[in-house]
Amino acid sequence: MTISIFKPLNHFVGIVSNELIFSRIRLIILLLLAGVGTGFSQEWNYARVVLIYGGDIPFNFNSINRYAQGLEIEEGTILGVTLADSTQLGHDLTGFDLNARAFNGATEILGEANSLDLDAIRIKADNYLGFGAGFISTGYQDLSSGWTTLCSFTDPGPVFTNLFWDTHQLVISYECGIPVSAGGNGTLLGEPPDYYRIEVELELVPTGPGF
Amino acid sequence: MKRKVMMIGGLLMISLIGFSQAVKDRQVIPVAVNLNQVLRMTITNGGNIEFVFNSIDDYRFGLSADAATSGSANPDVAEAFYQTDFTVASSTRWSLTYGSEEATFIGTDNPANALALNNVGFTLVETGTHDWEVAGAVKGTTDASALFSAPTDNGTEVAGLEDYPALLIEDNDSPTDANAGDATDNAFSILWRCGTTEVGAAPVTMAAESLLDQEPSPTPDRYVTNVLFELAVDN
Repeated sequence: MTISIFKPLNHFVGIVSNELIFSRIRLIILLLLAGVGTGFSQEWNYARVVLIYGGDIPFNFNSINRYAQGLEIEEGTILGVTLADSTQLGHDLTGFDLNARAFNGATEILGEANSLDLDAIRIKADNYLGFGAGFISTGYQDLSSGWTTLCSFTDPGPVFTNLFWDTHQLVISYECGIPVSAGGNGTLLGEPPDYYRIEVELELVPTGPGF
Repeated sequence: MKRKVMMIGGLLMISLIGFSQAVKDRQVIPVAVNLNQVLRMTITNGGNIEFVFNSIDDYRFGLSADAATSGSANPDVAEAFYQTDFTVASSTRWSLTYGSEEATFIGTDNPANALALNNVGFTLVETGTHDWEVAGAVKGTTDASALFSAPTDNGTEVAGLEDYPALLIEDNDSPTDANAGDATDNAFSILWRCGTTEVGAAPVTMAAESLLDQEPSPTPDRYVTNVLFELAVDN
C-alpha cells in the first residue's frame, strides 16, 4: 500500500524536476544577459568638478575710481577636476571643455528694483595646477544665457591620463564694469545703485571620439 | 512562453545599454554686484568771490573773469580772481541746482540796502571730457553730449544770478552717454562778472544798465550773499 501511494508521487516529482531544470537554465541565461547588459551600461567616463575656493563672488563699487575702471577679481574661484576614462569601446576620452552660463536661463543681472545686462560680468578660466600642454583658455568671455566655453584641455599623450581634483585645478577670474577702452563691455557709471545678483553655472564636459 | 521570456530579457539588456553615457558635472557660483551711490562736488578754486568797485570805469564797465568778452574795466591778469572752479564725481546721472540764498544782495553796513542779483552774471565753461548739448537745442538732441544747461544755453550765454533753487546743470538724457563720471569728466569753471550789462539770449540775463546808470544809484555798501550749490541724482 505504501509503495503504491508513493510511486505516482515519485513520478510527479520527476516531471516537476525537469521543468525546474529548464526554468533554472532560463533564469541563468537571463541573469547572464542582464549581467552583460550591466557591463554595457557602465558610463563612458567619470567626471567631477569640485569647488575648492571662492564659492561667492562679490563686486563692491564704492568709489568713482572703481566705477570708472571697473573691478577684476583674479583667481576668485578654484575648481578641482576629476576626470577618468572608463575605457568603453568607441568612447575614447581625451579631455574636457569647461563651459559657463547664467544659471537657470537668467537673461539679466537682477537687483531689487533694477537690472544690469549679463555682459557686465565677464569670466575667464586658467590653469591653476596640473594642466600643462593641451590646455587652452579662451580668455575673458561675456556672461550670457547660453553656454560659452572658457577653456579646453586635450591630453597630449596617446592614452588619456586620469585627472584628479587635488592635482588638477582650474582658476576662475571675474571682471565687472570694465571700460570698452580696456577690453570690457563698458563701465557701470550711470547705472542705478542697487544690489544685483546672478548665479554663474560652470559645466565640465568630457570630450573625445565617441563623446 | 520561452520566446516571451527571451524578449523581455533582450529588452532589459537594451534598456540597460541605453543608460550608459558621457558623465558631466556642474557647479553654481553666486556673483553679487553692489553698486553704492557716489555723489561728490568739490570746489577747487574761487570759493569766495569779491568784486571791489573803486573807479568810475569799474562802475561803467564792470568787473569780469572774462575781461576780453565782457569789455570790463579790470585787466586780464585779474581774471582768475573772479573764477570758481569745481568738479563733480557721480556714479549716476546727476543734476546741479544753484542760486542765491537771498532774493537780493544784502548790504553789510546797512542791511536795508539791497542790490539786484542780476547785477552779477556768469558763464559756465566745461573743462572736462563731457560735452554740452548744442546751443539752442532741446535736451537729448545729441547722443554724444552728456550735459545740459538751460540757464547758460549750454555754456554759450551769460546768465544772470538767480535765487535758489535754479537748475544749473543736468543730464542730457542721452541713451548712450550719461553725465556720470569722475572729476576729469565733469570739471567746470564759472566765470563771474558784475556790472558788465551783458544781455544775451539766456533765460535770465544780467541787468541791462551799468551800476553807474541804474536808477536809483546803488547805495555804496559791501553787498553779500551766499550762492548755494546742491548736487543730486538726476532720475
